Amino acid sequence: MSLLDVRKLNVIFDSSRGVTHAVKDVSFTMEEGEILGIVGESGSGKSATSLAIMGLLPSTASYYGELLFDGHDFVKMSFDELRTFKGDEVSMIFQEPMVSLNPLMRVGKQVEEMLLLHRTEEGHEDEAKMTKADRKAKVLEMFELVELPNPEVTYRKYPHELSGGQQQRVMIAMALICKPQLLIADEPTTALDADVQDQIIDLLKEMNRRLGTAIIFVSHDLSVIRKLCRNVLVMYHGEIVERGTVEEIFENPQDDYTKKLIAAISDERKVVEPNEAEDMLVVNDLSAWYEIPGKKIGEKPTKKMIVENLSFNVKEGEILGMVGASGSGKSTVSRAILGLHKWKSGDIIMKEKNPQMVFQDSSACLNPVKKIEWILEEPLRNMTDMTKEERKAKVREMLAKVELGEEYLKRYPRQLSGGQKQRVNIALALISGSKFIIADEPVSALDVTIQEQILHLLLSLQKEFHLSVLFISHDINVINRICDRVIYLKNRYNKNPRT
Amino acid sequence: MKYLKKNKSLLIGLIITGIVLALALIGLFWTPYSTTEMSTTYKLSPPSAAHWFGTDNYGRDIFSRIMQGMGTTFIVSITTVVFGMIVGTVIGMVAGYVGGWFDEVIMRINDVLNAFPSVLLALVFVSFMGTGLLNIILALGILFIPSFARIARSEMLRLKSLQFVQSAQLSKAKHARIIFAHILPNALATIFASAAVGFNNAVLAEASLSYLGLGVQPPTASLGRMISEAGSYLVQAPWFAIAPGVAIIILVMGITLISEGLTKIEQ
Repeated sequence: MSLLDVRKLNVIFDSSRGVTHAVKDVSFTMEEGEILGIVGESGSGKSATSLAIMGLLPSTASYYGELLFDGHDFVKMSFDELRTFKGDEVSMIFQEPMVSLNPLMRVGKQVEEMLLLHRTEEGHEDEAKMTKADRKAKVLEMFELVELPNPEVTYRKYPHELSGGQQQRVMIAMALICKPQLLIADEPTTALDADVQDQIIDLLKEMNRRLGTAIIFVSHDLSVIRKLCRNVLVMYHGEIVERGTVEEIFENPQDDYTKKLIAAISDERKVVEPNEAEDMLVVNDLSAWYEIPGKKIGEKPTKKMIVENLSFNVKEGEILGMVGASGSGKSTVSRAILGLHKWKSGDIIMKEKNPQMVFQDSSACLNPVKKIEWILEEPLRNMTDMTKEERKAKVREMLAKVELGEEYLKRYPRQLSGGQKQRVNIALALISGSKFIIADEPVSALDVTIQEQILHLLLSLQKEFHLSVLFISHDINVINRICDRVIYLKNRYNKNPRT
Repeated sequence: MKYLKKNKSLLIGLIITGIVLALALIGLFWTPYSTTEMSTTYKLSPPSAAHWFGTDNYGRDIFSRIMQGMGTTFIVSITTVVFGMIVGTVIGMVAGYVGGWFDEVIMRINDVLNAFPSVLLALVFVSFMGTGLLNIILALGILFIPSFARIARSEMLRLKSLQFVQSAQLSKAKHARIIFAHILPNALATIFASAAVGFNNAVLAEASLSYLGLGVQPPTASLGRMISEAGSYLVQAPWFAIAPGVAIIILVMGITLISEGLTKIEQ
């Protein structure tokens, strides 16, 4: 008998905005100790599927079908019966560990609570007698297993005192301390930096090997799935469009959507031509910091250094990638170059007087109460003497360049999808005729297939207008695909640029 | 229209306020009886078919005076709130945008204004400048500046850190343009919602000022003034005080329902 047998699972969300059939007739089985990946973009039903297995769907959702876990049907069970399985036999970790942990409770206590809540119930009489010291020993043992540094010290720490990776390790410890047979991991690495991502994936692999826990790993990122899973389900619009082992999916994808996904993460590198052009931007010994005002009157503000002595250049018509973990000061560097950061020293010499930026969060940088036409006209109003007619014509021309129809002129930003908003942003950056653009994580908030389209657009516009681009990202795949050269930023102290 | 059917508060509020406004508008040109003509025969007569709400101590028809009084009260309140809203919003927006010591100074002045009991401040102002419609509006308007300044400032603080502001800076928009063309439209929903609440307070403030004898001067009718005049006849002629009192309640209720409805739209 398989560990988990999902038969014709359907999930339906019924909200005021209408009925959404989020999961349609999904069936799959899982063996003990297996690692199964579920991949798909947002709205594909991958999270709804995992929440249904966990019994954590919101009250607006209804579901039917069969969810056989070890022979017990979760769908038919009452809430109380289900509760004995949750946490004990099936456990879950989420994308945002910071939100899932109680901020006012020491992490050791939180993990210990799992033992109190679950191991005192029927069937575990021996463990019901666990003393406080036993429980603590068990938690420390678990902390050691998930490779948290110095378990004794970590035990007494609060969640905010831990890094994102450590928080996720605590979550894993909490999820695994009752030795569940199945762990559902919903995008557990998405919020983490690339190198920490790899560590967490290694840890999950190790846990699977040592404890024999089966894992369902839900992600939008095929490259992560590839590192961890043996079997993969590809979901699209609530249906499973393709299933198979990782090798099968990667080497011989059948479905069109799967092919797109794989194309998006392929390791293809941009062919770099030697660039003898002049420098568009030269940054010399740039330091940037924040000043934290003194607590007492008259006290001098303290400096918090973000970047120190950073030097690099961007040539004309070149795309320079800038990679670094969060907190390495990528965004501060870009703000300093644009003149939006007050506290800086060093030289910034730029040919373009009017540099522009494409931001990560495409919805935050479009004024929510203005129509697209107004937003796109704004730089022209402020920087040129164009007449109203000339401006309108220019806006239409630019909108066509980013492959959006004229019907979008009269829409508000909230009526656009993420990808469309990012197109508007690109149009906004280019409309004033700027030759130098900083793109700060322009695609990381988008679904993989949309990412692909936006990168494509960015590349073709870069060629057409002969733009120089400083491309900031934490995603090395993206950087490799479109950048001519790369510099790496390390935390706090910047290392010399590598190319 | 379809939307109004769903949003009951807005619908009912609009109907009530509409009726009140219509009565007040008609009252400007025509009232059943003259609002100033006195009559000794009908002094303090109870409600009847001829005088719906009875007559007051000078024999004037109360219904007619309420029609006129609602107009006065409405005009005073609305101009007061609009004045306080415009000045307060500009001050709060600029203070929040500029920040630093400028913000500190402006907001501390704000606190000082807030620290005085509001009616007391208006009393002092009116005693200095003299009574008269314009002075009353000014006195009450100044009272409303701090609350609007505070709301506008907190909206500014929330909005100015958003990326579309940086985006506006990059498109070389001037500071005034960023404040008033980019940020202000985003704060309007909140400001208008509090204007509706402010209107109610203005109605009550005008009424209390008139009650204390420093508001609208006789023989012009205002709802507050009428209650104040009725004070001495509460036992003899309760309708004299009740009628304008109920009129205030209806006026305030109508506007409150509208503001509730508007808040729903915002959500």
